[in-house]
Amino acid sequence: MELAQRLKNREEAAFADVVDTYGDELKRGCLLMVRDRLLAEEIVQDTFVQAFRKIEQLEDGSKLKSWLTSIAFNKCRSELRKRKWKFFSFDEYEHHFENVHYDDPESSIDAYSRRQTLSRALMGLKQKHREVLILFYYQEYSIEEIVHILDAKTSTIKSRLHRGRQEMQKKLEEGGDFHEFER
Amino acid sequence: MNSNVKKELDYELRDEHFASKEIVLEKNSQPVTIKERVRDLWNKEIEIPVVPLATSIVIALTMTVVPYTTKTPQPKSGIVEIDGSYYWQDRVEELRENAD
Repeated sequence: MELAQRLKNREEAAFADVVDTYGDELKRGCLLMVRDRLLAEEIVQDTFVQAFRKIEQLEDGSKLKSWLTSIAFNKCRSELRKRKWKFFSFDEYEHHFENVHYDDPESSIDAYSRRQTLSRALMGLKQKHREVLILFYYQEYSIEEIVHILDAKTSTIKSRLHRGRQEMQKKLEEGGDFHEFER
Repeated sequence: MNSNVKKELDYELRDEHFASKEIVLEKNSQPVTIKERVRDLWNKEIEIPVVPLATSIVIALTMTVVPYTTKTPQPKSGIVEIDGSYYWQDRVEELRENAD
């Protein structure tokens, strides 16, 4: 039986399975969006609670993941709107990562150097470009799925993806050499 | 093509894990409290269509405020007859004062 149907049947194990399956990816996607580890954790937590309570609203069980993503990204947008007037710099983001402890110094340096490239560049994009790039490149949704998740026009999503790629490429050229965004 | 980016991001964010599974499962097993219902209602997002709303406000203002602001001021005094023609009295007095 598919996962969504098990959720609708209120199977205890199904809730745990959904959290195990999508929890990390949603948290990372939300972290890239809101740039705040604790907030990302809270958003994903609220997303699961809301989704489980309103699971009857999910018509197509095969779209469980995109439905969860849609709820999570709407929450991210809402939180970002609340913080719009608050000064939010990269210092805050850096501060969150300063607290990450690595046992192996080499992995710490390696991780830090990598963070200087992709995730950092992604977090530095404008929100409207960032969300489309996260959904396309990290969550690996198609354009049509992103249109549905963000409730926007296809032309808008394509345009944001194009501009986001350009912006991303520019940022990466300043600090790294990841060429995946050139196309 | 996207998978390389995903792999790279997953590597960079490999220490980020969702850690509130137990909290989610606990909340899910409890009935929704009145407090939570109120909070959900309070935090409910509504969409206000800006253009129709702004248009309605402009029309309402045009119909109520504008007639008062554009009204021609009427002389306060009565009418006087001079050589068979009728004039506002305060206008006549004003012209006489200026002539003096």
